[in-house]
Amino acid sequence: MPSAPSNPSRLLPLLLATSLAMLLVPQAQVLTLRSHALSALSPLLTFFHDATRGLNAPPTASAEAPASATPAGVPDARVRDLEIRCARLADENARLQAMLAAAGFGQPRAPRGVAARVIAREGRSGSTLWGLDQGSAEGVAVGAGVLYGGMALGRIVSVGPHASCVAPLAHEGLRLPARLAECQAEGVLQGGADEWGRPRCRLRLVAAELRARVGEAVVTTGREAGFPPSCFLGQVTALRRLSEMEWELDVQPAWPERAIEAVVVFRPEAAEIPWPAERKR
Amino acid sequence: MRVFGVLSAIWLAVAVVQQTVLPVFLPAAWRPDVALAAGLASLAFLPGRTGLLFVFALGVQSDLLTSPRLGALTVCYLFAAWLVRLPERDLIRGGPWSAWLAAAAGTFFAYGAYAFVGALAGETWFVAEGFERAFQHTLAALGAGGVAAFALAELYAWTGLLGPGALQRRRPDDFGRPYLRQA
Repeated sequence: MPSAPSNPSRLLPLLLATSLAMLLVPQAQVLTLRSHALSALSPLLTFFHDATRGLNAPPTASAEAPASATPAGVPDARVRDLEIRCARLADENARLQAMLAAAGFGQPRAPRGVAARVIAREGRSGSTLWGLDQGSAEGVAVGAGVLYGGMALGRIVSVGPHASCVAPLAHEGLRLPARLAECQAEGVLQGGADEWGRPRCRLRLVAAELRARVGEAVVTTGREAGFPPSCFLGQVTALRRLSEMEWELDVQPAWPERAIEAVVVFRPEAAEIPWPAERKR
Repeated sequence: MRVFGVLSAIWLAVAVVQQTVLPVFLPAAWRPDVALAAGLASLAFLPGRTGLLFVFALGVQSDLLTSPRLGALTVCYLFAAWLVRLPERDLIRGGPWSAWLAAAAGTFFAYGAYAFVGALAGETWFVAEGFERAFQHTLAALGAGGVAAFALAELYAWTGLLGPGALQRRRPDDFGRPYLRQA
């Protein structure tokens, strides 16, 4: 290349024409190409991901931390309430799993899914796609839900051999059936951002009356094959009535964007109901 | 072969910085487009065709990894490269300082164009919002462009990739050191 003439006057139109021709590539193909590019770059990105891991992690609660050390804006009473509920549910979960094991249904199973690291997370506003270091070779499929700490994070939109792309909940193209945890109203959650570019989803509901409240949890319905039911999505921050039968709720996604390093790609299993012919006689 | 090796290494380094390192340290609004800054800064140091091809390769990388439509950012990168190359002689004479300025100004040109191209290519923003983001990217490029310009000037001089225009520049740089280390 250095021996080539330095006059770029003829090269520029050629490159511009190539770029314009690339605009004709369908978006689905672009996502597939992105997954393959991430697959090729995966070893390098994974290495640097591991090298920078923990450099900017949020402080975690420790036994030595004072009781009042809560994140800014979160009241202590609410944190205590959540801790109590979490402990209660963990106890109940353990008790039910022990009852299952005692009844002869084996040991509690490990979470169904593929553990993956987030190796890329850059993108234009509202259309950010995250890259994971697990792909079709590891069992990741398009449409699978991505979970982080029990919360729904997003959905797999394209898969390469050893990498995949995730559209997070705040992606403008993402639609997900969702349910309000307390009043049980169901609607469709749509990704988006507020005026400052922070992740903020909208939940649209069709109902004459809605007894939702600010702070109420939004969870998955279980009707979406890629997600387990009652998986936490976020909290309601505002309610608006659009018309007689239509409501729009602002939902703050639960996950801290910059702190996520590893996720689990949900892999639903087929129901373990034996065919009649296979039953023991 | 040496040109291909060095530019491929920079291309990979840009991908790593953009995808893995910067998102850890900077919020989205303050993240610079390192690929664009590196490409525009390289125009001042590389031979003309090589510089343009490198900008094109970086544009394809950005499109592949970040853009909703393949080619949208590449068009804007090339548009900015064309605008930045218009004052080519001054750009080469100015060395890293004018490469820094070119990276910041070119970022504004590229994302100003992307406000229109992106709206056509599938972004869900309005043009005014696109220009707001162009200002954000330009502010971020003031930092990234400086790092890219001075680091690439040293790297290209060290690896012998400087173009003929940059090679003729012999005066000491603004830190008092000889800018070019090779004959």
